[in-house]
Amino acid sequence: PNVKLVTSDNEEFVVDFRIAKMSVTVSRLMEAMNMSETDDASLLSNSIPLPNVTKAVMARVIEWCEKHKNDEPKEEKENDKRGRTTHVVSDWDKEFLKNDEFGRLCQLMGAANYLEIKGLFNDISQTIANMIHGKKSDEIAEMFNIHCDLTEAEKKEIRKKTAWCED
Amino acid sequence: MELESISPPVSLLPMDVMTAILSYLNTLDLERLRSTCTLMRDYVDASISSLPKKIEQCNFKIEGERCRMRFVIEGGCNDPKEVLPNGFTFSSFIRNGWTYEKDEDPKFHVNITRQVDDSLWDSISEGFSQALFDGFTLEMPLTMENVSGLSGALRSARFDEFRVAISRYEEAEIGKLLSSLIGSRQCANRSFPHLYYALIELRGEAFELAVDFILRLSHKVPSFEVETRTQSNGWEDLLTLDHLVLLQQSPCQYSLEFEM
Repeated sequence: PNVKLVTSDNEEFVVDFRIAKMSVTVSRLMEAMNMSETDDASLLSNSIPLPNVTKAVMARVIEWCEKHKNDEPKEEKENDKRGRTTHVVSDWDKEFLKNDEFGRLCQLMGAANYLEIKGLFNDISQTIANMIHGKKSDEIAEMFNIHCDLTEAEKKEIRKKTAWCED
Repeated sequence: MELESISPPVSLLPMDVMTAILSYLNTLDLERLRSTCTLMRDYVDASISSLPKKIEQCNFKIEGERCRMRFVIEGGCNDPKEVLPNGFTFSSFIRNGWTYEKDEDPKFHVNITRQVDDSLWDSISEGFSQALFDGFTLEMPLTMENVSGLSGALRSARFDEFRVAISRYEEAEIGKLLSSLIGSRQCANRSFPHLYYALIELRGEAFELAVDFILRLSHKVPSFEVETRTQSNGWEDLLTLDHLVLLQQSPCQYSLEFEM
């Protein structure tokens, strides 16, 4: 059975029921609209509006879901030996996300958050964290297009206060 | 189909999204990120405050003019630059006058000290925001300032069990204390019944401060133990029959111990 999803720019996506169910938000909406896997009529006559997702983003989300639709639910590894919270991003997912600039990742992450697709959300969180990890403040600012509004005196004060971890 | 290549200011990310990203960063990364601009600084601080901090053990000690805190963090490590997971970062302590010191005991992940002054309690509130303590050992002079300060600093902290060790008290007051404790537990709406372990060494000065302190914490206590020390006459002198009846009727888990 298929489910119709309609994006904010009125693009209709017809997706497999299993893919639709990967989104907690869509699952809840289907439930609220009495749409079930065994009731074709309910699936045909209804579509799920997703006003917070554009067609371009939706296409990416569906691509990710297609790849992961048969995945077994996995437990998140909370901490590694060094104490960092970690999420293992698979090779396919790394490849999937590697060409996305920060702006695009944000859009995709916003959609994953809204649609409540935990695996995709965690993949992107870890990917953005990896982009930040190990970079100096000015490199982070440049990457994220952050305009530094700190005065020289404030910068000096910050350097003084963060010297303990920069040493 | 291409996504639009617009780079939004990172500070416009929803807070829960930002919080998720920050949970994968280490202390050094967080410090660098928050020093990129004032908005980011506020954003990072707010995100960190909202993360629960799992602390296996905190030893808090005020001795003379110095205060010391030693932490065992769930999944933590001794490298101050590495992340202290689950949102715990002691950067906020460092920014507020605490000094990082290497601990001679490797089981502790963080060892920080600070001068005791008027801003002591304010200096730990941020770091303890949303803290989940498995164990909390407290040793400090029992003054009104300390009692109020610690209660305020722990206002959003949670524990599972409450253990009180009272080293000095006035006998006449112990019954009142227990009655108050039990009474408040029966009446309180304990929406956060998380106090797992807190060993509180109450020393000297006005006993009503101890009562006040315990009452404030008792709203979060699902079970308790009361130990007495240096008490020569046993429970008969400490508890009246009424107190024991009250204890027996209490739905809470408790145990009472004393040392002769």
